This record gives sequence, C-alpha cells and structure tokens, in this order.
Amino acid sequence: MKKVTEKKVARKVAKFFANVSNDVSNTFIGIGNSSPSRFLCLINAGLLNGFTREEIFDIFIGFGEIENLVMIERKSYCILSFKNECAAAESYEKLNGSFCLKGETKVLYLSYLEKFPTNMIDLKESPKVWPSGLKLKENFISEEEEEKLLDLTVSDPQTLQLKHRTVKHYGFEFKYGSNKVDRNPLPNAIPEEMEPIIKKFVELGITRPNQLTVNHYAPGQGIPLHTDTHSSFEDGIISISLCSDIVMDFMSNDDGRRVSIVLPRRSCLIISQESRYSWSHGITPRKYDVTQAADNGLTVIRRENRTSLTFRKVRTSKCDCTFSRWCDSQLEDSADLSEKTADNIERKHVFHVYDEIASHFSETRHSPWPNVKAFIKSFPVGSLLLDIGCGNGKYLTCSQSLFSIGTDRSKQLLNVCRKRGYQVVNADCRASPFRDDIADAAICIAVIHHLATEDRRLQTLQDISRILRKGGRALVYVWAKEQEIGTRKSTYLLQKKSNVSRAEICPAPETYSEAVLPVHVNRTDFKHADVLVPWSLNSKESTGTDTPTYFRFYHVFKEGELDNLCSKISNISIRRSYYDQGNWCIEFEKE
Amino acid sequence: MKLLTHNILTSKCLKGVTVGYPLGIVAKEVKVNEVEFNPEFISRMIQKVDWPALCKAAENLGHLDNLPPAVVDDYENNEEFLKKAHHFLMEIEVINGDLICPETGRKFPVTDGIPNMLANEDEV
Repeated sequence: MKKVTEKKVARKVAKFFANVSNDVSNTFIGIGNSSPSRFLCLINAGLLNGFTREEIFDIFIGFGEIENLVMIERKSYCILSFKNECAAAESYEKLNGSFCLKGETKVLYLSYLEKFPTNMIDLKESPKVWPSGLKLKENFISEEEEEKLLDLTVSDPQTLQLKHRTVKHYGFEFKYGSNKVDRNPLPNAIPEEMEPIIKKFVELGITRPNQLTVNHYAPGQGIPLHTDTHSSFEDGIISISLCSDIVMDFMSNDDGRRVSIVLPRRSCLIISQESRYSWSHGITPRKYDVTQAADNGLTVIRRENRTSLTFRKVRTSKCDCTFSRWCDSQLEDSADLSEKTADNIERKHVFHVYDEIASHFSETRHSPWPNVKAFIKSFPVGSLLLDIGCGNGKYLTCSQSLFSIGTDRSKQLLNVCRKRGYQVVNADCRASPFRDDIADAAICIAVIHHLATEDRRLQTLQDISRILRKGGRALVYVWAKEQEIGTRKSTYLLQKKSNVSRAEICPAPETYSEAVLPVHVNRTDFKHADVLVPWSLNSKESTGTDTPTYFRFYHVFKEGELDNLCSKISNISIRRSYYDQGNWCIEFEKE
Repeated sequence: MKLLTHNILTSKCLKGVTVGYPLGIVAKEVKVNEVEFNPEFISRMIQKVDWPALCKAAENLGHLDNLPPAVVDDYENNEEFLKKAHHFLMEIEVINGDLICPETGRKFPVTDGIPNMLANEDEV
C-alpha cells in the first residue's frame, strides 16, 4: 500500500495535536502519546471528512475485534479502541501514513492515545432530532404475524427484479421510471389476510391504505435517498420490517441534516408530515450497520434478508401540502401537460360544454360587471373594441358609441350574439383574426382561465397586445383561487345555500396520464388551481341524478399570477391590477 | 359581417401566412340594413379603415358604384363622404359566403353573418 515517509507522518501528527490542543474544546485528548496502546486517534477519518462508522469498521475490523468507535460532530478525526493491543499495533504499522481511505487521495494518520477520553459523552454525535411526523412502533407485529406476512409475499412469482432489490406491488403499481403511481388499479389488491395489520395502524389514525409495495433486500442491497412523490400518495406512509433489523437514513431536503434510525425487526415506522414531504429516506447498500449505543458502546447490526411492506394511500387529487418547495403537484400546477392532453381537456371540458349549455349559460349571464362596463365607457366615440371570448355578447352592447366585435370559440354562443345583432367572429382566443395595432380597446373577461397551460394563457395575452394600437388598453378578468379576500367573501361564495346537509353526489376526479383534475364543490373555496367545476342544466339546484351535469375546466389564478403573466409581455405596461368579486383583474396599455 | 368588420380581419392565424390581408369575398347572400348615422363615429372609424381594401370588398360584392375611390381631404367635415362611408362600412352585411385568404386561397365560410376563422389542426 502506498505510504508517505515516516518523517512526514511525524510532522503531520505533531501538527494535528498542536492544533487540537489550541482548541479548548479538545483538551480531553491530551497530547498524543507515542507508546503503543489499544487506543487510536484516526486523523482524516472523521465525520467532517465524510466517513461513516461502517466505513471505518471496514478498514479496521480485519485487524481484530473493535471495542469502541466514536465519531465526533464536525471533526476530522475519530477515536477507535481495539480489544487487544496487538490489533492496534498491527493496524498502526500497516496503515499509518497510507492512502487506504476511500478515494485514495487523503492520507490516514494514526496516533496512539494514553487512554480513551473520558468525557466522550459530551462530544460524541449529538442526539439527533427526528423530523416531525416520524414515529417508530417497536414490536408492532408478533412472530406469528411476521411469518404469515412473509408467506403471503415471498412466494409470489410476479416479483419485479430491480437492479438492487426485488419489488412487488399490490393495489396500484408504482412506476419507477416516471416516479409516479399508475392510477389504473392492479388485478391484485392488498391481500385480505393483511386486514388485522392494517386495522392496527388505522386505529393509530393513519388513513386506510390502498397500495402496498413489498421490497426484499438481501444484505448489501439498499434503496437510494428519495421522498415519496407528493402527487402519488397521501400523507401517512407505513413501513413494516420483517426478518431483519436495519438502519434507515433520513435527510432533510432543505438543509441536508441527517438522522439515522434503527428499524428493528417487526417494527412499524410511520412517515408523515415533515418527514414524508420534505425529508428523503433511504437505505445504504451495505452488509452491516454500526450505531452508537446510548451507553457509549457500539451496536453492530449484521443484516439478514429483509422484507419491507410499505402501505400507502393513492392520491385522488393534487397534493396541497405546506411543503410546496418539494411538491410536484404545486410546482406543476399549470401542469406540464402535453399539447394533446391540453387539447383534450379543453375540447371536452370547455368547447363541448359551452356548446351544450349555451342557451342556459346565456340566461345566467345578463348583467355586465360594473367595472368592466366603466372601462368600456371610458373610450371615446368611434373607438374600436374587440371582445376576445365574448360569450353571449354581454359586453358588446355596453356602449353604442363604439364599434364592438366579439370573438368566441363556441358557435352556439355566437348564434346567441347574432340574434342580438352583434358583430361576431368564430375564432380561437390565442390567434385573433385581426390586423396588428388596430384596436383602441380590448376585453378578455373570464376567458383565459379556461386554457389548460400557462403557455396558452400567455399566448392569448400576447395576441391581445398585438391587436391593440399603441396607447390602446385592455382589460382581463380571471377567476381567482382566493374567493375570500380579507374577511369579505365573494358573491360566488355568498350564494351558497344555507342547507349544508344536502347530499351532493360528487363524481370522482378525471384522470389523464399526466394530471388528475379534481372536481370542485360549487360555492366553496378552491383547493387546487386546476379544477373541473360542475354545471347542472337545471337552473335550480339539482334535485336528482337525471339532470345532466357538465364539468368545465378552470385554472384559477393565485394572487399575483396574472400580473406575473403580463410581465412576460414586452410591449405593454400595467395600469391597474385589482380584485373584483372573486376575480383577479388587470388593465394594461400597449406602449 | 359588416364591411367594417371585414376590413380588419386577416388570416394571419394560419401557418405560413405573413399578412393574410385583405381577404377576398365570395358572397352568396348580402343584406343591406339601415343603420343610424353618427358623423363623429364614422370620422374616427375612417382613420382605421384600409380604404383600398374596402374598395376591393365592395367590388367583390358588386356594389362598387357610388363608393369614392379614396379618402378625400378634410373628410371629417364632408358629410356626403361620411354618409357614403357609413353606408358601405355599416349598412352592407355579408350573411352567407366565403372569405378567401390572399396568400393561400384557403376559404373561410361566413354562415348567418358569422365568419369562421378557426384554423384546422394542421394549419396552426
């Protein structure tokens, strides 16, 4: 093994102890003693250098039985004691000044110590604080229950061989490629025989799971650090360990803090809240785990074949946790929908719906909103107003002194406009068929919240700025996610019937391959940005299930979102930005 | 679809079209209505109107006679001119027919007074 010179070793070790003795907190060590003993100080092999106990063990266990190993927080050395002096001497001779450490770039230096430092208790790794929501229940299942569970899961021919472990799913399949759960139910649900176990943790307050993943780990196998996908599973994940103790590592996604937890055989680990949403967990692939016992000794866990049962509940709506930084639901709120899916959603839940409900819709949309009317009336005689997404033409008649043209995607709604004698054009709001720089005024009221991607919503606003002449002004209204500002509820919320106990049949959310669209409960606050809002054709509240219900797609806007969108358009300036009866509104001018 | 509306329509939304303006008109049914005349309104509108395009449209409809070939000086005060402009821009409506893209020849149907300017999937 490659080594540095003895002279260098002596120099380096002396320098180390000189530095260490200057540091008041290290006076426990005393001056390094050159006469052989069982006790060694390992320099460059500390926690600060990124070493784990197991790695040190690997290097030194070959020389003899290790009595103790203390790793110290933020230090680049550790203290090791062998049971026998000759083991220490052999390691000293072989390894001192050598490049035996992982990476082989740093040199390991050894120094004998006169005695094992007595006040180690103060200096060993501080007891770690577990992330909140992480609970361990030891002896959760009996030996008989363990055997039964093993029988149920081990002999299944349909196990999937992954690179580093063997996996089987029940209920729903988790796709490792996309890291998302496949919402098509598997033919095999969670075996009924597991009901007694499930009952136990349901009693603890955990939501009843409908998905089970069985992992088999041979010694030396592990699973990389990961956070269970927010959008796939609810809070409250259960892990039951069979046949072997093991150490599971946890790491905070926010600041890298680490905690390692011993999971005894037959224990139940509950991963919830902070530990579920913003910490990662994993198992280091190795054959044994070494932990510091409470009484200062070492515990070596030799791994056996271990089976873990992970119980989870598949989410049916987007995740709305408070750990949004790590939340794929919230981060992708204007989901990364493919153009095809966006088209499908808009076709089914916007175009088709409006064509079906056109006349009923028109009846309910007769009063122009005062602020929009005021905006329209602020333009002088002979101005050109373009109403993008004009619906039933409610705003086309607000001012007789303007020439107003409306566009809409729905032929049915345009027919309503036509009957009223308005000038309308069948067109897509993203590409208005008008000349550049032509309009004095443009309005786009309650339109772009029907577009399924941010890109499409931005495109529409950009096209509106294109058709405005220099100095022309546009007004845009979108449905707000926040239906209550301060203490004032919007008209939408206030219209809720007081009879709360009315049974409402709420359909299951719609599933697309990349997104789950929850169905919004009318007259309540929005819980998600992308929703399906029911519309029943009966103008009174539906009294039966034979009344057809349509679902309209909405992307409701958060505060500031519309402003942010407009800021991406280069040749406009924002004149006003406000909240009006449950809508976020913006008025901009073309430069 | 009034001729004033037609005057600002383009087929620019289609792929490969640069200007898309003015659109040709092949009319099957045209209506002439009486609309209240407002000189101030028409004066301002004329500023936006592409007059040659208006002439072309009128020609397509076979109504060219009587339309002045160009905007006259001091039109704001020329009531006769304004009234003629008003007639063409506001009182003539295409009810059924087709609008033709000048660059691709693509037809946009006008049905019941409503032009359909929606592009197909492959045209976007």
